[in-house]
Amino acid sequence: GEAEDVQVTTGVMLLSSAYITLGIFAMVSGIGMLRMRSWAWLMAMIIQGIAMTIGLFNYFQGQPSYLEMLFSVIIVFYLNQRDIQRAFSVAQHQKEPMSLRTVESDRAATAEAQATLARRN
Amino acid sequence: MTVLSTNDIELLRRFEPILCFNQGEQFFPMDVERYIAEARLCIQRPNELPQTLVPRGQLTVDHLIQLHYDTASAVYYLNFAEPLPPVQVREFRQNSSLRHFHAGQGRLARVGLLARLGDLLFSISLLMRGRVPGGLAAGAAMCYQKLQKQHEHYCYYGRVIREHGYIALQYWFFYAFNDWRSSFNGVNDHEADWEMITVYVTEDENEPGAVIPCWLAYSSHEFEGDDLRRRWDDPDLEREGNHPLVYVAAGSHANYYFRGEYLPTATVPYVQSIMRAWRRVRYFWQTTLRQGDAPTALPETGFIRIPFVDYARGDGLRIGPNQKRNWELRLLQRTEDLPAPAWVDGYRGLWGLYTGDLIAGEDAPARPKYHRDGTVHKMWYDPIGWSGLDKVPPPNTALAALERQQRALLDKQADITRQIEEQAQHLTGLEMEAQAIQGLSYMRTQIAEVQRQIQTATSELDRLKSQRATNAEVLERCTIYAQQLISGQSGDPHAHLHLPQLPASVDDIKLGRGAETWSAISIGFLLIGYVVIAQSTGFWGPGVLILLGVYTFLEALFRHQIQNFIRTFVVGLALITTLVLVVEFFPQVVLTLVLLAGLVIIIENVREIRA
Repeated sequence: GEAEDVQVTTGVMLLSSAYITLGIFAMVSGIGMLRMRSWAWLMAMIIQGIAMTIGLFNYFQGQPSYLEMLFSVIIVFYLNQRDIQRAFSVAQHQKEPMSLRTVESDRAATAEAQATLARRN
Repeated sequence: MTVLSTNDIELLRRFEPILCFNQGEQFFPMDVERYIAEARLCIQRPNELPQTLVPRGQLTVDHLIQLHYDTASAVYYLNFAEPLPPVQVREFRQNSSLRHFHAGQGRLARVGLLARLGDLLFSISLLMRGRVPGGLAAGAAMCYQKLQKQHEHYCYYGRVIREHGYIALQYWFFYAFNDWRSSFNGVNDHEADWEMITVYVTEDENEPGAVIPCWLAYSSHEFEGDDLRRRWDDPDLEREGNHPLVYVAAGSHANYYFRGEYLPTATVPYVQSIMRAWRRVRYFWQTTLRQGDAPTALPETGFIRIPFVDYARGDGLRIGPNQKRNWELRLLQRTEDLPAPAWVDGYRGLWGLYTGDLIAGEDAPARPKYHRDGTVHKMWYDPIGWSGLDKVPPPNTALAALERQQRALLDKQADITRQIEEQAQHLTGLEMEAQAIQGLSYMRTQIAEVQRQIQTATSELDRLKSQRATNAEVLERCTIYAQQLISGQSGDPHAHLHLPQLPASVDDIKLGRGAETWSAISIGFLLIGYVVIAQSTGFWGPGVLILLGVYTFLEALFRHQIQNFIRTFVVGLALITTLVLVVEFFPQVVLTLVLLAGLVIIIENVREIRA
């Protein structure tokens, strides 16, 4: 009865707040992307991740929203393209396979790291 | 057995390696005779307690060479020292050079989840299989230090083998103890340790009596093959004149070409097909779809990194020519004046404690000549093949080997040409026969048979011609390569390496204390989390997923990989969502793809017509 109504109202308010917050983040991310900021790229990926999580949850609950899921997929695959990441100066941390590293650069870097370690100890 | 000449001994001296040890190392190469004098000889028969055959202080080489090996499964072994009680071990460690050793970043922080799980299983297995008693490493170290105080010297055992045009100069090093596990958090401890360096030289044709150094090979754990060796002129190698520098790992005494910290790798068998499939998927993802990081080369075979570190920093004692400590040369073969040490051939037992370890990791070795089971070790009977050098001709015979192969190819080419002529004649004969009986209804069976033979003959002719064309290309490349050899070009010195052991990257070493703490507790965290979830019935599946998600997030956080984690997680979600959409709309997806294909074909064909 009344308690249920209160619960539903609270739930709706929470959900609305969450969507509004997400919307604000999306706007901020959009402005950042116009300015080609790398944080905007990351924020956009996080927002799409949240959107897809909600979309998959709704799907398994029997309330799918296929169009939104499709848009999210397209956006993510687009943002994940190498050229797009480069355009947003997204740092790509990439470990070279062991067999291809330059021994000289490793030697110098290892000595430096161990000197730092020795100073700390 | 070969008799060593004065020239052989001089060769050994000329290329003596310089061994660079790690700070904290307790054991250095010593002579076998002093070890035997301190040790006792024991026997372990199946289902019996170990027995002492010769007590400490009374053992001689004669005892070792008079043993009978006919008792099935009985193991003869030496025992150098007694374990110290915990209080004395603590006191020893506080006063020894071990206190100067700092492990740096935790070993578990350098590897992933699978390797840490492996470490957990390994730790459990140590409780169940035979192991060296605690305190024995400290006992052996005290014993060794007592011997060194009486008379400090360091020696290696030299051996010279001539085979396949190479002269293999073997430098064998005997250590009283391998304390990798107890002193440096490694895999195992065992009494006695044999390691070896080989320098491969060839005779200089232009200067009689002179030699040219070609290759080096360093022993490292139980590895063998191409990755053990390096070319003498490899620019990455460190040498002082003719003396190669060897970085010896603390405790394990594995030998490395470069200073640093190593995470040994183990090749995972039977995964080549999986690696090939994965390579294709990666190519499609990274190159065709241009997703994610730029393409990088993948190793040919799958491997896992073992979460134990070989510390080969080279910041400790150095032994060798022009160093503070130099070598005493001993020999494993006879000379004109002296016989070979009797124990080389005569003793097949273990050089240290036998623990009964099921995987033999904690058992002493039986080298230099033998395996633990008494059979001859490959390092001994095939020093050339042990490092994969048996397929590589020495530089002074490389051109002759190439010319030999070219002649064989030319002979093969002549034979193929002859076969092509015969096959062509056979084929034309069949075709004539087919035409002669064409259209005759009562010859249907024969017509079908002749057609079948024509198809077979055509395929065979095509195969022969293809082979001839390939051989022609190979012969042309051989001619070019011969020119390169004549002009003195030797090619890429790293071409033979597949999965060489290289020091860990700086990224692995620079991890923060948070990462170290997390890696130490992460497996425990996973196990406890699993227990908590398992108690909450009905929540098991999603609970495990959330647990793994939290684990992966924390792993990324401590390794400063949050951005990569987010990207990978979101792309993973996108792939799952794509799969859901394809499943739900499969007919529409297929129709759309067909429509797109049709449009593309129309556009391409119209473009072609216009061009």
